[in-house]
Amino acid sequence: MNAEQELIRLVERNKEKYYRIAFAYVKNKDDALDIIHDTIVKALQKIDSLRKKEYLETWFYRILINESISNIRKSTNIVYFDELPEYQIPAAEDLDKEQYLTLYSAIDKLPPKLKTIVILRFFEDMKLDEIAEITSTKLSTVKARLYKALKLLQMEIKDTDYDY
Amino acid sequence: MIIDKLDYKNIEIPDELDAVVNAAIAEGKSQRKKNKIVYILKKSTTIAAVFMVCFITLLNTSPVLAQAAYEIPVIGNLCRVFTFREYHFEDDIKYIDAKIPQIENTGKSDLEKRVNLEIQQKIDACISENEEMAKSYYKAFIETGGKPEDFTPIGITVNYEIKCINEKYVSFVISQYETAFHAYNHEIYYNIDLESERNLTLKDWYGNDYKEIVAESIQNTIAGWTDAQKEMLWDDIAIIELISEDTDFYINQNNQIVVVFEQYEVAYGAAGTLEFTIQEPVD
Repeated sequence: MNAEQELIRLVERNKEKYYRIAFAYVKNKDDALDIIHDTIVKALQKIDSLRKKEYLETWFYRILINESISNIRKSTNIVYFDELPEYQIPAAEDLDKEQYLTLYSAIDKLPPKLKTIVILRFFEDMKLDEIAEITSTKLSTVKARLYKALKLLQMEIKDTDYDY
Repeated sequence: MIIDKLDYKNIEIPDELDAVVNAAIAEGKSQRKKNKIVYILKKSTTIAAVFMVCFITLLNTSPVLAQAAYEIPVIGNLCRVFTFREYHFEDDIKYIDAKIPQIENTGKSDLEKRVNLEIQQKIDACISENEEMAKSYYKAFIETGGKPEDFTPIGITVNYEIKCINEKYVSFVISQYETAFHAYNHEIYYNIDLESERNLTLKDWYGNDYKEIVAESIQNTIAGWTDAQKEMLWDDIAIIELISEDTDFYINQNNQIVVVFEQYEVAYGAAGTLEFTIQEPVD
């Protein structure tokens, strides 16, 4: 099977997963579908630049994430974290059920790169070194971003919960 | 800490997903093919004969090439070679991919030079404009407290598509797609008359009444639309006012004129780029 066929097979098998990731960034169907479309077209166009087939999935994730981030950057109603009031998200244990704010909705407040880490780590259950591969960053950068994201989300970090 | 993944796992998968995925696969595959083809049709009969033999063999052995050959316009005895120059540039603030078409062997070397020069100039201008823009985005990003390592490089892709080529004219489009904080898509249409060596306009094609002819045909097309499609159009649009010698168009494989309106020009953004095939006026 050549690289193009493998790519198509990968996409067909995992399209729902990729859609969820895109949706988590943009939180609307049309933009998420656009991201999926553009990611697949781009990946097929550039498949010749992929040298080793075993990196196909990581490489595809990288395109998906770049497309998702450019999509939120181009949207006009983006609110940057710096512009938000200082304290927005109360710690979960302080809230009763009705006020309970899930991590899923809280990530909307994060800048794109921190959002990526949270989505991949907590929703897709990826390991930090996999995330480092996908985002082309050092493991230490991923850890720093994760820490920063959680801090911004005012969540308590307990060492035992993460496989640092 | 317990992470509540329920909202994430419950993201509804829309029915359109399959269609979008399939369309994207088809689009990605066909664009990839387009860029790989070098169009070569030789004048010399002996070479042509050899070429045909190879070609037929290849057609029979390679399904990929068989599909690709379908897209090669047949142009009789004339010899035209389309090549492209690939350009790739990447640094911390931008990456640029460009595929640049060049016309060769039209039999009129001045025309070749002129077409190639024009394309070259247009593309160079577009690349340097984008480089400047990338620089200014980067500067603004740093000045507002951004860290260099957090900057997402600006992407610029330049591509092309041949719409029609025959003894009389060549019609093609160069598209430029840029991703930055906003996405920007720009297309430049070229229709070159090979005899007069001029850029064709709608007026050349339809004569002095071209505005009325083109506008009427577009209005007839719109009249056949569903209400939902019609609702996409701006309310106060007068098609005839949009038709001029600068209106974008290309010539399709059936030698028909196709007028193109950029996104937002006549309709809401969701309608995208609109194309209207113009019906020849009945005398």
